[in-house]
Amino acid sequence: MAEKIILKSSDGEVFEVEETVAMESQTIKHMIEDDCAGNGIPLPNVTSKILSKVIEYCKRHVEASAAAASKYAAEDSSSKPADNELKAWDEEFVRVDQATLFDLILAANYLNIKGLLDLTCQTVADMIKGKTPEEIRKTFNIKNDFTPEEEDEMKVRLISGKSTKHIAVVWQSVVKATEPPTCMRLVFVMENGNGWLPAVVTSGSRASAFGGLGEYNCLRCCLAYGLLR
Amino acid sequence: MASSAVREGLDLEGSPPWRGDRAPEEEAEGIDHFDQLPDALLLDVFNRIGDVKALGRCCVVCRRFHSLVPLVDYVVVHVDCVISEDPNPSSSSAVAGCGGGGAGPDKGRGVFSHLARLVFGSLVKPLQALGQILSPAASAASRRSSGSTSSSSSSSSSTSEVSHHSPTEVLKNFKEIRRLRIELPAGELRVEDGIFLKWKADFGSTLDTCVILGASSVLSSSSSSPLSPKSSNPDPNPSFQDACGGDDSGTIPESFYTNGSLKLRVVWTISSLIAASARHYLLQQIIADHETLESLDLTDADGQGVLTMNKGQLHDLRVKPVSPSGTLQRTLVPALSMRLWYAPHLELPGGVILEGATLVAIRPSETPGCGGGGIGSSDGCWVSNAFEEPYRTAAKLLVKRRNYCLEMNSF
Repeated sequence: MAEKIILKSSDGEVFEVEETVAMESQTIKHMIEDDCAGNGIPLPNVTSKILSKVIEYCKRHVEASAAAASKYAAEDSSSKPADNELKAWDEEFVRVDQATLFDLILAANYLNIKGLLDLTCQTVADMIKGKTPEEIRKTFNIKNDFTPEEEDEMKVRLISGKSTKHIAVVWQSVVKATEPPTCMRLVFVMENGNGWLPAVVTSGSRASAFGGLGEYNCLRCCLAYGLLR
Repeated sequence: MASSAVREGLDLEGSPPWRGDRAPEEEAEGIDHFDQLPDALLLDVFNRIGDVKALGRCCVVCRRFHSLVPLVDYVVVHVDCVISEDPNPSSSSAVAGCGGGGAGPDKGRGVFSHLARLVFGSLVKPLQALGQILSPAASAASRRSSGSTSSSSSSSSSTSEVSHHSPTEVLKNFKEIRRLRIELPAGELRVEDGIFLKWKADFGSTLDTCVILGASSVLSSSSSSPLSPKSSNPDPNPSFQDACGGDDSGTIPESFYTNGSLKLRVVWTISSLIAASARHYLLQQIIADHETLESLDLTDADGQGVLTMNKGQLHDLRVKPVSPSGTLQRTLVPALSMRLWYAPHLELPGGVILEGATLVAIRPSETPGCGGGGIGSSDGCWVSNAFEEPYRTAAKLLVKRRNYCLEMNSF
């Protein structure tokens, strides 16, 4: 007869689960092995809402492992549809609001459930991939704590490997060389086959490119200021 | 006309359009849930992103991200393009007269590629081209020379030049990489239509093993009938008799040696080894920069060639630096022992048919246990496990056949 383990959430709710399901959590597994599970295991870091989701995950995956094991014993190599089913179930499982998702990450970490940690962290990673920095901030409500100068510095460094000091020098010359000034603030300096060529100028967030005469003058200034290799 | 459509190596503004998330937006609440996560968990998330451009974008989101991103242990670099440069303008003019296949007015042909074209008939793209994208020192040198000799004067007036950053530069910000994957945009070996060629090599300070799978053509049987016409149920483990279409004793037919088939396969082998050793040579700087590396893969988007190095091999390379092959930008390949298997017709599960299928297993002659010019049958697993399905089955089928031994000098 399968042993039952009692789990107690932070808000006092009691969950009774089979030992095999509970043992998906390495934390709980060690507690059981160390004989600390007597009167139920208190989980002060996990609310009942999250604990029920975690138990749901563990149950489903224990079932899947059991099914796979019996198939292996029966030498049935057609495990692909079952794998795809489990994958689809996992995808549906993490279709939750951000608060729940992050709580699941913390719970999976605390309870040491590798599969759940992999799944939830990968979900967040996938949400980050393919987004611009502004989109990332918007999605996760992250505050941009850089100063505007720091942001410019980072952008320039990422793209050109040079610091803003070089750029500032060039800008001064450009303003003098082209009347009326065609740029407000020169931020990006791009490299071409022959050296450095300012190609993008921004005024705040508006990006526009230097055209015609302005470009040529910029190039001359860069030459003068030793920015060409 | 100056266009604002400049693409940067790490582009910040021009990334792909917004992809809807699975979770509903939480702007109303305005909570940053990342605040709940300790640094170790946030780093775990960053370790699953992989793409170095995405990581670069994360870097500029906020201070916390900026401090954690350089600590990721897994990075994937997708190289956008390989630039043709001419590092040896003088030597290329010396062999210009030799002519070879109608390659047209291309710029970046070094000495070796000219020779290769002469001997092997246009199989090898300019491997020096990889140098521009993977080695900043080489690229700086070539830029100086290209300024005076090459026909790229048009680029001086070009206003929408793409800014290129070599993987070496891009990776400089990361201090703790343990697993690195670099993906070239395409395989280096240009093969004639229909020919199928795949190689997998692993290197320490020099070549350790290489497996090549080739076929003169690949067909897919469109019929849905079972693999073997004799049996009534589909057999997941086809016997090699069935796979080779009937009564084939597994020996290599005489015609193979005389009709140019063997020669062609030797050419495939040499080209693959050249490509592999060139890739290896160019990785040195990256390996030197990243002491924490434990695994390195250099693949291409075509899936043509895979170069891998594991922890032990990376250590070997650091201990014993690479010996270049003369003045060429590639590692010296040692004297080799090779085994070649051939099947005129090979059917694989899933309906793929390889015509003129060839498998070559290569090891340095000095490898212990390699005496007598052969590769011990007990080592078979590195050969049959080199590729993913369906080609894994192809390799497994081919190794059961009789084989042909080859020796090759170092080059």
